Amino acid sequence: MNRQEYSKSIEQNHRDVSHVLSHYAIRPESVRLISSRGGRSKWLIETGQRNFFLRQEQIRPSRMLFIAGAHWHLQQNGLPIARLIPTRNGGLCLAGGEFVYVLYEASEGVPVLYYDRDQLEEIMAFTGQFHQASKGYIPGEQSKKRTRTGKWQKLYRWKLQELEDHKKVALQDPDDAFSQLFLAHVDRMLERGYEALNELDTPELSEWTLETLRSGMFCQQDFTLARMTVKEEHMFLKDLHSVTIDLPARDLRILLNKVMRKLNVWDTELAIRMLRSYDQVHPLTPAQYRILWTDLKFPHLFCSMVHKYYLGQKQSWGDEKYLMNFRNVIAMEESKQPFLEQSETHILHLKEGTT
Amino acid sequence: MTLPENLKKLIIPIVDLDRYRFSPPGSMGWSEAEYEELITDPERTIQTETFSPPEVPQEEWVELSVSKDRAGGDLPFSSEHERASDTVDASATVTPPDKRPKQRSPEKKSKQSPEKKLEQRTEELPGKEIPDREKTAVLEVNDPLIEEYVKSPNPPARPWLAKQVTGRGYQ
Repeated sequence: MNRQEYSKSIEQNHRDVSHVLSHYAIRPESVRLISSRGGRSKWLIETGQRNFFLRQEQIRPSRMLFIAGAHWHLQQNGLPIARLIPTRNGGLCLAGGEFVYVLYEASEGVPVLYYDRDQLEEIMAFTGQFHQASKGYIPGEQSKKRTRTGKWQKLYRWKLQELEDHKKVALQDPDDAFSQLFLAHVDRMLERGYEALNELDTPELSEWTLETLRSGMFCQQDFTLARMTVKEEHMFLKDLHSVTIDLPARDLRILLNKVMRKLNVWDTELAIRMLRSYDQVHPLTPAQYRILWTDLKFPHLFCSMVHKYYLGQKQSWGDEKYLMNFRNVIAMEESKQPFLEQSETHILHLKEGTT
Repeated sequence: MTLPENLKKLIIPIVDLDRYRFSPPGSMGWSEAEYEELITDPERTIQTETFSPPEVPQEEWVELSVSKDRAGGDLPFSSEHERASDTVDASATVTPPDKRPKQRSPEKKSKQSPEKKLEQRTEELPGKEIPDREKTAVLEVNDPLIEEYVKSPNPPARPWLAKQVTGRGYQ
């Protein structure tokens, strides 16, 4: 496709989008395709007064309805989140062909950084707000729920078995640099994984699971700071791509691991500061924090990186990039060990507000 | 300068470097080399680009979870807004209204359903004060997820997986 043909196809695409927008009570002045990858596309819609994003997803309508319903629930409960715009008839989303659409306000502010400690504390407080606001969600009858609550053991077992299988693969290719690094650490990670699996066998987990299911709470699932912004000096969620019914510990584990991986080392003081910030908004019991510690003990990132490598899931990554990222994950997981071993002390400090 | 006698006897191997390819320095390695190659000729990159704009279907549309409470009434601005009754799109297939709790009415406070009471409880902006855990909303719904979990909170591993796990500390 040459430049001219490409321009024409984009213009046609923008005209096609106007058919979708005719279902909404807005008067678009311009439409611009912002991104399109992995079955998800986004257009910026400019009107005289405000801008909006139209998001197209190749997803089951019932699944999209679950996410859009959660988005609506959060905004009705006062969470600072980009406003979801219903259709003229009050529909949360619009389905056509293989695609589903949602329209929401475009909100841009100051970017949120993984390296700003103050912002990280604010993010954790926001996460507490998110979990608090998520309570009471009753998905519509046509919604397809996604839940991980009550499936933690199953997920752990599945990941551990996959790790054992990848170990066999690595042993068959001893000259491969990634496999050498993997084999040097896999036994320790398996040990931690099995320890974590055994720790899940506790009545506190069952109680928390039931409490979460009954409260209607949900998690962000794929928690990333790329969807956050600072607007009028407050944290603001620009977009909600996915939600899942799960224990709040999941979001905390994902965010803590993600932050520490960026730092290449586990910073215990920062972790406690972040958790304390969360606890001030959405307090958890010491027993619930122990479950978070168990989830942090499980080598999720190690499993994820190995899974990506042996299944060739990152086509754009060369061997060097795989190795670089894998070394970072290993460094972070290894340095996390003292934090994991002193869970009781840290939980006490976290609840008491001391370091 | 002459080499000592003992070193003269050493045979120093010479590696033929032409036989090897070395990754460019830096963390990106070969990836960086490929990237540099791409940006040297951006026009060619565009011409070989396989990207095409996403398909937008032009068929029948279905609005999901239609609710009269939301119809045209939630935009935070009015000048752009047209009422739903003025411009209903004939192509839109309307699904049955959902059964979400409607906006609470102060006059009917005494007759509020449990769902409405729940909405009231969760309406306050969280984060302003430490929430009381004792007041956590509990949904009184017949959720199959809950029923399933109560019956079997920790289902046993599949036989093939249990075999794998045996002997590694997991029962």
